[in-house]
Amino acid sequence: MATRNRGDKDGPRLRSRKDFYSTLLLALGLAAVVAAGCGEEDLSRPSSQTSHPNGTEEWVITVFAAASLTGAFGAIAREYQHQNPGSEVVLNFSGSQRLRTQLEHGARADVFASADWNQVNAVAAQGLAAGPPVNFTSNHLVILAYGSPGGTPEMEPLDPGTLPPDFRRELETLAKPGTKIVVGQPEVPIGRYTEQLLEKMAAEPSLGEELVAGLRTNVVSREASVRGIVQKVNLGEADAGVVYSSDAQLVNGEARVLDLPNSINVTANYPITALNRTPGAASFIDFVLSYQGQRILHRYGFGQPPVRQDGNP
Amino acid sequence: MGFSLKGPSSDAWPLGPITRAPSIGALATFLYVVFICLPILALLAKVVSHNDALASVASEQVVLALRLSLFTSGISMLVVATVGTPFALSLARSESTVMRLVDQIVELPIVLPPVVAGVAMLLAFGRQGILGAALAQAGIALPFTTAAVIFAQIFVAAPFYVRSAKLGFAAVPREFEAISQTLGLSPWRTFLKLTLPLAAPSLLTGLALAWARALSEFGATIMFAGNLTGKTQTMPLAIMTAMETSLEDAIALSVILLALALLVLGALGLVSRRRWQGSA
Repeated sequence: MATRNRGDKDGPRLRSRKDFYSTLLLALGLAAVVAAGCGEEDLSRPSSQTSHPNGTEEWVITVFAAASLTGAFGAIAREYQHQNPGSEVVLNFSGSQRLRTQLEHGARADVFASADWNQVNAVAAQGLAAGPPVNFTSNHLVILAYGSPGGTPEMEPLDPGTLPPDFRRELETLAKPGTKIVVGQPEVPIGRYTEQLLEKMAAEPSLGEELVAGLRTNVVSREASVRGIVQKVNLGEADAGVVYSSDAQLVNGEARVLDLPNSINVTANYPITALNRTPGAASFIDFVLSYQGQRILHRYGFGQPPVRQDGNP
Repeated sequence: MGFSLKGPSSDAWPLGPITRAPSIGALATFLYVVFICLPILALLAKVVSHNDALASVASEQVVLALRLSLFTSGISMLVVATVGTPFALSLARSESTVMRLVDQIVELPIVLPPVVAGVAMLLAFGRQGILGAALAQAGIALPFTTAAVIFAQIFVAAPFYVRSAKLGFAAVPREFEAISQTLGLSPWRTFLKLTLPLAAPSLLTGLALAWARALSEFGATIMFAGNLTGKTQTMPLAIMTAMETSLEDAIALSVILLALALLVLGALGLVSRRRWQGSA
């Protein structure tokens, strides 16, 4: 029930030619039954938590989490459920902006973990948050590149803070005419962070505006999600893309991860907030912030949250 | 036409229980209309309540997306009608086993989730795809181009036309065609003067369905063609892009798309009715 199939536009397959109408009727009937069956669950379901998490009764925690957290929060939910018998964590992953829209339009959830402070602030401004949001993890950018760099040997791991000549050579390859680069659209967090990265690159004397202009010219698509970028580079249809370090584990085939020096990298802070005062919401957030939760996040490529907890970076 | 022809005659339709119990029909109509119209009216209401909603989205980007949508779906329909019509006719007429097998795969693209259809197109026509090397040698790179948008639309929309056209051709009695030819009309003229007009309502219905599907195509497009303003960003992709910042803008764009669809589908319906009456 956590995996609702959104945006499914495909109707039933009409194999039979004569029984078109009966098929249609049947499909409508089925749809009605399914809708009736699911209506009370899923997003519209109020938190069915009735007891204290330390009690023996069962409780359900509905968590809305940014799509980039899919792997990490899946693991966190499994571990939380393992440690809290009787608990059930229902996860709903989507773009942070989309989750915010769902929450604003009445979707019921207990916890909101966003990839972006704007969305959490908007939810809080509507009076939907039950407490101040806190940073629980961070992410930074990496470049995904397809195939081995042209003519250059395998890159040495980067020394943070310096720009080795190899790095510039890699970027020059990507700035050559005809190279295909996919980035996030400016409206989604990954696109905004990529824009910041490009600005920092342009300001960096050893890289320069000309190189960045070449990179910008090579953008062939502005994707709605990080997944779209990863898929296109994995398939080798795009030569490179900018994604989060937490996506590096999704890389396969001939795609490889190109780390960015700290001096030009961009950090994305992830805030989490309870949406009601139920003990389940609080205990789940505590678990995410605990050493165990942080270790799982680290395993999935996430970094530590910033020490200062004063909102927007 | 010189003689009166009717398709599946309305007299032949058994006056079943549904027509004898108007209350069921009325109830079904009510349910259907409410179910379909309520969400659409809600969209309209949202736009109306948001005074400058339409003005706020009237940007260059929207004009580009609208133009691209009209252009690509137009080309797609041209291709679908040109190739799909003779194909549908052979599907309706041929009794060979091969054609019956082909008949079974016609609808496969409808079953495939659009995003998967996009991946499939990349795997076939992409740079690393099956035909990738051959296409590259010919200097053709399809992904991330306007041509890729058209490819995606044809892939997902063509079955709607072919299916409907095939049913239309199958409903034309073969005796009529035989008579026409004994009266001295060539097979080609028989097709143009008899078969095509009789099947026209089905063809136009199929074309309308296919066009609507092409116009709304999203998943395969973003996968195969990407999302770049003016080049591959059609209306559905522009709506999705707007959705990331403002739901109101996205809704306003959707209403524009709906109005456009209504206009074209209405025109097609008008043509279709005139055709039907003309041949009856």
